[in-house]
Amino acid sequence: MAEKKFLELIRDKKGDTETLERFIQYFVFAILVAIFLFFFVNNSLSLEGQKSKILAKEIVLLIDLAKPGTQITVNTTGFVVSIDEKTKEVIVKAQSKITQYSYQFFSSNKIELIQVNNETIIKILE
Amino acid sequence: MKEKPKNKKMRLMQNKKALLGAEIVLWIARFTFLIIISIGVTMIVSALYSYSLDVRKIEALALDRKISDCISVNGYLNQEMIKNPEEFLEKCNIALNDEFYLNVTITNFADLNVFSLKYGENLEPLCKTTSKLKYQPTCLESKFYVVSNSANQDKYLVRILVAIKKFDKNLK
Repeated sequence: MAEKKFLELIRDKKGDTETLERFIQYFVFAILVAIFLFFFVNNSLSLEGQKSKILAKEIVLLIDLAKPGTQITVNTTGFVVSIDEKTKEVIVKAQSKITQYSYQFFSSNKIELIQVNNETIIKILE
Repeated sequence: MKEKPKNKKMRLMQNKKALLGAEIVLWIARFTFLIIISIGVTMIVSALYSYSLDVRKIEALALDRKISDCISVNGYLNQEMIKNPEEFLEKCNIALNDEFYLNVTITNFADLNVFSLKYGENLEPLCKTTSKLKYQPTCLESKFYVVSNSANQDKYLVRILVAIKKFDKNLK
């Protein structure tokens, strides 16, 4: 009798919540991995990231090559350009992205940055 | 021979434990598989869609030009700039960090150093090496002559060596 009951208990899957719990855990983990992969692939495939890299380096080279008194106008549609005076970095952030790209310049001239609509005016001061 | 009911019960209990163990192994395998797949996708995408944009050559050229313009004004030696090597970079509006190596020497025709400036970790051996390194600094060496403003117009040889590391932002 006891043997029969024990066998029934093993076969009784309705009461087995352990498998379901593990399945849910796995499912949640798989979804998290899928979300991460989706964002990573999306971020890599879009050209915004590459464009911000190019733009930052381009601006840095312009700043380094420019002589005091120079005014440079750069078309920065879709990007926000800023300068960190402390670290001497040009920071470019695509408006549609969370991430940003920065590149260091070596010029110690004072720099003024003015954003006008889709253009960024960089003034190299004395 | 008939097995005792107590022994049979024990065997069934052991089977249940074995089943549980096998299930755990299966779940671990599933997680590992998922992690391997995601790492694989990440690596492939990174390799295919990220490219390095090396601008160090232009940067070195810009730095070299800035120093040259600082030392020479219309072909004449700018005596004011080379008075104190420690103030040279500041006077030239150049702010370097540890990613740069700079070696500027000005010698007269008697081979005597009239000005010498070294900045940063010495990268000259890496610039001269013939072996291909994964992370090699970009080097640029330039030499030119200048004359002094004095009546006898002394001639000087200016040698500028610029080396830039910046591996993270240019090679990766």
